[in-house]
Amino acid sequence: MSKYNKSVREIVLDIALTNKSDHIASSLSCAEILDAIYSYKSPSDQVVLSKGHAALALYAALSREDADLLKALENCGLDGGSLWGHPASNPSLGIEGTSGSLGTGYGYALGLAYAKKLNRTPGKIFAILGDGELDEGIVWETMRILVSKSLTNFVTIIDQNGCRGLGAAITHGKDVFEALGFNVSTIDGHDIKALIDEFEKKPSLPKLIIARTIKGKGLANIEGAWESHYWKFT
Amino acid sequence: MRKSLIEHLVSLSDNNNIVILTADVGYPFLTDVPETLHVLNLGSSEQAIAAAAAGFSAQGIFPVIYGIAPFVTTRAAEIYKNAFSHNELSCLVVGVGGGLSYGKLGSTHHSLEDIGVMKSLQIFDLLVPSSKPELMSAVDTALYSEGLYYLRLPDESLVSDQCSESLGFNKLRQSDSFSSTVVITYGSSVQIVKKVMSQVPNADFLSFVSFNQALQEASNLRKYNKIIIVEEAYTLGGLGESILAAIGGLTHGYLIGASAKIQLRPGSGQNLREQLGLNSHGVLQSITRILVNEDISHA
Repeated sequence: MSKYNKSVREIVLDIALTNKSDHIASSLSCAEILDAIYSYKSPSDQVVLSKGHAALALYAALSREDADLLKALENCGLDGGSLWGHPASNPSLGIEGTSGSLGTGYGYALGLAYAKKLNRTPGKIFAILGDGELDEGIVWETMRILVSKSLTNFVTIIDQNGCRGLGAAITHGKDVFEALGFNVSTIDGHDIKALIDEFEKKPSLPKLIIARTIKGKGLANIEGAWESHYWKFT
Repeated sequence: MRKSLIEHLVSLSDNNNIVILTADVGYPFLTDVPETLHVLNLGSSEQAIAAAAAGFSAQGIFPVIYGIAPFVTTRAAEIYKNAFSHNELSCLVVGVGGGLSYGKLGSTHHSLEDIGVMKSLQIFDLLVPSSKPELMSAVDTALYSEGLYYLRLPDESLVSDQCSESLGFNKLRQSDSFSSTVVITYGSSVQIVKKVMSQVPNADFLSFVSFNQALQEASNLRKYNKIIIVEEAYTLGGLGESILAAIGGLTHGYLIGASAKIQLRPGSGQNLREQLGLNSHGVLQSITRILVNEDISHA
């Protein structure tokens, strides 16, 4: 909980209900992941939401620390608002990188981490991907570089809800990412404490967390269904 | 439009070997189609899909690539260039949500550059229908004429059930019009421009579906003193500049379209058109200024 005393999940639901926002189910899938990251991160850490369609969850997490953003969030998705349906880079608001074209945010995050290593600056990069996003080749290119360059200042989190936009996602097991050279953990992606415990670990290899989640979690009528991708409050 | 497209492809699949390669979009229309139409969801893998489509075509199956416009065009462009340019292959690339249709979802989903990108490859004809009958005709052209086509689907809210009543360029030769000005447009802009034409004195209105055909017939436009082209695309690299160049009409041609210099604020497709001056009010203002010889975006 933040100074605004609401969880990311609660803020997402508040805004989605008021503004009839898109991509609620995707935002609820990664609500606790963002809750955990923003509860844990230090000021020098940076967060890239590569699965940009869950922008509402990112904005909700950021708004807990920024009254201006909370106000902007009230107009999210409305004419005359200041926040798009996918994140548009705005570091002053804490929005790192433009995402929405799947996989692009992950590559951008790689650049942030590599630059930190070259510059010897502190802080980690957290990148959140959807499991449908793993269909994009750029994701695997980025993973190869992350591992080959030993970027241990990078935490990849896969929001593995088993869905993509038009059916079930291809589910990749722990062994796939271990074979690439990651240090891999599989945990409940709705368990904030378990997520933070993982962030505390300092492995010698780049870290990748498979966060098992439920798309649309908390909304009984759509929970777990891939069709929930298109659902919104009416 | 998407529903009509899929229904039409289903009807054509009885006698044609067609595969739809979707990049994880098509809900709900692609979820329940008869088996005669092969639908393969290959996931958000637009570059792999572009290359695979060439393989399907080489094996005698007509591939229809189906995805969000910027992703199946700009993202996959280099693959088309290499996979298709040295063979006699066929493909229909369908870009859903051309132009500003995705509105508030943001710049990653807008496709104002798709026209320029696909045009620059010089291996595609660009099909830009504004009505359901034009859509059917465009799909038939792609399937039966063979070759490479990019079909840009317009905003669903701006689709007409009827063909545009405008003249085709080639009919201008027989036309007894004595108008000195012509306003030309395509796709999502057709309904918007038609709405204001009654307020534009002494001007003809034209729209087109096939870019290649428009270029071939462009010489018929030379009779006009002013040629105004409106498009929901970047004017730099758009279809308008090519049409004007084809007729040497650069001195009396005017382009009304999008500019990357304008920083868009979040909004619906309708709101974004207003910001770019591509709604009815903005288009009428621009045309009026051109007609009174103010210098705006002169080609």
